[in-house]
Amino acid sequence: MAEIVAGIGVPHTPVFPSQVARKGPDCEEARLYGEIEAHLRDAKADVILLFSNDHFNTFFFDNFPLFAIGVAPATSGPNDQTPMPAYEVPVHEPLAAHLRRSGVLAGFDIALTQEFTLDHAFMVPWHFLNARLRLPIVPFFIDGFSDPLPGAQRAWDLGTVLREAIQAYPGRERVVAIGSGSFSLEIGGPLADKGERSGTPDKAWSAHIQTRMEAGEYRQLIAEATGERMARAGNAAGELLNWLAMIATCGGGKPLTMKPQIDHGHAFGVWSVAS
Amino acid sequence: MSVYGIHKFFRTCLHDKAFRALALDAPEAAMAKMPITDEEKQALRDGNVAWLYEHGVHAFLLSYLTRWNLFGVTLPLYSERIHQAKDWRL
Repeated sequence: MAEIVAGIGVPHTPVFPSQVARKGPDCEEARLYGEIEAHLRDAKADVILLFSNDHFNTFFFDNFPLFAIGVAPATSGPNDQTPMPAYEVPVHEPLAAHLRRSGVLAGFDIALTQEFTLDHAFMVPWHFLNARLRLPIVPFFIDGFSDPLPGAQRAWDLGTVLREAIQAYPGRERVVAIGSGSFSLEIGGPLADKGERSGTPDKAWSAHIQTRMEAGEYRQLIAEATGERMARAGNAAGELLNWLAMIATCGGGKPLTMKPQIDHGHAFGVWSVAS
Repeated sequence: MSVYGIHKFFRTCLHDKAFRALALDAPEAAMAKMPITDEEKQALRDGNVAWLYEHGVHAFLLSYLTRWNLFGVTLPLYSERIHQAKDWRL
């Protein structure tokens, strides 16, 4: 059977690839992503289950799923003019199909897309963590950006279901789950910094999330992370849901390491797997 | 208020270079291609981002205005105006 070997949480800030290209390998972001990439390499994974949220690029309001999975031989990105290299991305199609089927049978209405491209939310993690390894991914879309969001408990339960589905998959694949996004981030709204397009309106909430995660206090975090609470931390703060699904997929343990960028309202974390 | 048409206007500006050029060169013609109301068109002409936000336009898409200074809305102008919007979260 397939097994889950690690979990990873990272941001997908779209300026990071160009910023790191400009500042060089010693800058903070290059170092943080580099440390995570080393963990991914050490995990000797065969496939990545990547939870992230589209920003109205892959999907739009003509047809907007709360949960979706990409089932295809390959995809590409970025599709949103993010200044970064373009990549062809292999998809682990059989595992993706299995996870969708298992999730639907377990009560999650997971939309299916078989012809799609990916925006920065998937491609920034790909660029920093997987551009050299080129492991196939299973892209899993969770709406963390357009109200009303799925609940935090729902995201957690989804991860739990996918964990069971991976463990029942008839293969020997070693799976790493990645959840990507911010805990506090406002883009374009009244909570952005004055004079800027974005901002981090609730650094305290971001720090609180990190404290809860480090203590393994997910039940409390899920109770606190209501739609209203996340919205007060910014219109992208629902990206926490990607992290919760990832952590549940890993079995809900404490992180091995978690490093915040407080001013950005996000963190870089690695989880081992509770057996 | 359709909101959907406004969202579509901004998304198309990102994904369709020809439409973006039209929005910059002939904004009335670009608006005419989208299912948006007269009230919404006026808000776009006025760069009234607070009104658009208060009527349900997603701020992420709305802030595409500043990527190309559509309707003359620069980032400083946008920022000043969006901070005047009523926000249920505040």
